Amino acid sequence: MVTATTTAPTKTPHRGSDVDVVLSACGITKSFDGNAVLRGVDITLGRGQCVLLTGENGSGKTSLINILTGNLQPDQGEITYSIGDEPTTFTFPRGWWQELNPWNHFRPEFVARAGVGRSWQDVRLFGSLSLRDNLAIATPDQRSESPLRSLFGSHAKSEHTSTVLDELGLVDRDDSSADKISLGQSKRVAIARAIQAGAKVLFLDEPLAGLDQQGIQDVLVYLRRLIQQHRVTLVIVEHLFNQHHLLPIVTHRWSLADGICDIAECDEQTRRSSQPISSTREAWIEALIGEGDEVVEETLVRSATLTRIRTADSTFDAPRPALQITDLVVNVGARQVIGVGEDGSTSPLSLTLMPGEIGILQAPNGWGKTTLLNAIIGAIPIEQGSITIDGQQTIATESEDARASSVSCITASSALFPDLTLKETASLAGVALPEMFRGREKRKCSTLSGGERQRLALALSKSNSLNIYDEPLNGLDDGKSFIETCKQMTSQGNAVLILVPQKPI
Amino acid sequence: MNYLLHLIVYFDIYLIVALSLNLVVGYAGLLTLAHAGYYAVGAYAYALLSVNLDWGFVPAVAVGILVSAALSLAVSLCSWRLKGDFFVLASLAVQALIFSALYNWHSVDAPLGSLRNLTNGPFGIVGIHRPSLFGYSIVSPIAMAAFASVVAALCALVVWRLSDSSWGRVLVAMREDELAARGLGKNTRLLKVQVFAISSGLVAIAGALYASHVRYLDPTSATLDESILMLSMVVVGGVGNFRGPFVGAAILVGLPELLRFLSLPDAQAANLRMLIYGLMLILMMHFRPQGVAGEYRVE
Repeated sequence: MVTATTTAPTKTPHRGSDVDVVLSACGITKSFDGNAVLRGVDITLGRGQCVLLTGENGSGKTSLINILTGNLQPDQGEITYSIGDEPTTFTFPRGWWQELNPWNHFRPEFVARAGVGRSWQDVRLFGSLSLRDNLAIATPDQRSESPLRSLFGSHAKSEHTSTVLDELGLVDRDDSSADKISLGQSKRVAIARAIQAGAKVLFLDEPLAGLDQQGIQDVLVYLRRLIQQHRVTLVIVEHLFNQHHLLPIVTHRWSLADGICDIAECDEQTRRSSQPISSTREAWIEALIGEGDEVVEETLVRSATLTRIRTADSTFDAPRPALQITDLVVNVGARQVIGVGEDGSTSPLSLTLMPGEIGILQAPNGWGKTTLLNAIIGAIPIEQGSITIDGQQTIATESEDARASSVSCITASSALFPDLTLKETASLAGVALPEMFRGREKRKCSTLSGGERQRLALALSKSNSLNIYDEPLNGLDDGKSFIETCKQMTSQGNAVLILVPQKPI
Repeated sequence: MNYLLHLIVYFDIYLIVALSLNLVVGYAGLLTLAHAGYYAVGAYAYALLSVNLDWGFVPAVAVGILVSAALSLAVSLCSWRLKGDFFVLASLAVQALIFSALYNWHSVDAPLGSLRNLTNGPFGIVGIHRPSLFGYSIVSPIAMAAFASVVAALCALVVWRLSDSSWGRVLVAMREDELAARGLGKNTRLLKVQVFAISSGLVAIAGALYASHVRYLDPTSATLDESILMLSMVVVGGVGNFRGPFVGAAILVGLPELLRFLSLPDAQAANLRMLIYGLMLILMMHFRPQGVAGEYRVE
């Protein structure tokens, strides 16, 4: 147990009601390179609450989560964790002498032991360990975690983990490797792992990101059970497009703007009024459709759909399509990924995209969207069929020149060079730095928030004959900039292919 | 026959080395180049205590383990903040420090083992006692081979128990994603101190076995070449599981011996051996980066 300053457990009045406060922070400030991100944030969190943390890109959502989970030290302020019997208070700035005490550090492991857990957007399960071990590891204070005891004690396998996995719908999957389950399952295992570690307050970073309809439902059912049965307190950061899924369980909303956090209770009326803001995926597709555009819905194999938006700039009498995929079958290792039918039989994929057209491919997780992207850019060999881009057939090759000529693509992780400054990144891409990043030219890309990184990647992408975006709306607070980018590209007669997970409408 | 028994002793020594290094490199994912330094610390501790104070094998090795484990703080504290290439460089510095200490800690006019002449520098220590247990000295080659095998088996048992425990699993978790492990409340700093102390303690036993078998010791046991040889053993055999070190030790002890049968002149054989080590490492990196029997790829 961390012992910093301890005081008697308190019941703090919160908005007129008696709330059992589990976490409180006051006067939290944080600056990066002189830019103030948080300017005195005050929050209190009551047991069993479910908070939705909202704010624009760069408003400091991730910084606040990092601070409250011990991953980042604030410049000033005070944080009190009152989850167990003994409340623990950390006051900032901390003196150097406090760092000399090995049992009183403001670090993630100490905050976790005080009962605060978190999940990451990119899941972070231990890939080479089995699911059982992923959960068993998390159990705090195990006897055989001391090397001396592990030499002489028994190494009994935990039966409890099997029960937890059964509850998550992973019956008899104890020995499966953690990198062999679906994204939805791994997100639930990651949350269960934090609970297993003793977390009573859980910070979740985009728990619904990248999930299809079934995945979202499964995660929501699990979160609801955590709140109702285990009285777990949740703080969730979620993409605008997914927020409406969470509204039925959300009790409070923290809104971050200009470095200040505004706390509001989320009653039935707020939920109803919030509904229109939290638009569904369809809304951004609607926004992509301009006046006079023609929309064609095509159904592909295994419940995937291709929405083709034929803009006024689409040229159907063009001598060659921007992208033509004919009878495509792609294998990854021994497994057939693209070109599999409903019943597992071979059903080759064919699709065409004309210049000036926007294609939105919505498919369930595990359908093979990223594999398709890799096949199009020639990063992996194809088994059967052909892919033609702007009249030229793609051949899998390790030569960058061969494939880079007429395709540009932004992958789901918006890979920027973390150690380059914004100015260097822009000059490497050969374009001017966008307006919103002016004044921050000397900052490194690694200091940007997830949403800002995605915005920068989008702004720096060059318009080519074919432009592919894998989950481009991840981390963006609104899709406006992306929609503008797409429209600009089609107006130049270029084609856009967008790959997104299938969502409930 | 004696030749074969001698090989068995060498295999046992290198097995302990590979098993201990695998804990750090394979399970914890921390690439260290200072292992030969701790091996030499164990060897010197045994040599000095047996030559100067006539201590038996067990108490002398116990002191070697303690000194080596205490000195391991030099690398484990570096691993708190340094990662990847920077940690490798820090471990290289520790290796150079230990070698310099062993090489320079001598004075011609002071007796061996005194504060002014602790190691006898480049002249080394001669006449190191054979291992003695409960007053009996292990003299015959067959007894030495059996003794070394028992010690190696005990060390293997310790490593197997550790790697199969929750402690071993947390090590793997730290290797996979340290931040996620910390987020689950695992004190990775303490874990690093523990794994380096255990690994350095174990390799000190191997050093003591070597000193008692060869009966002569000089600072060349602590050179960077030795550390690289130890690392090659682990990388070639395969890291991150229990069987890799057995394969690595067998290959790197067995291979030079095969060259003996080619009746090459000594000067050529030594060069050829280094050439084959180098070639093996390059081929392994290209075709099987996880080693012959390993499951985790050293980055």
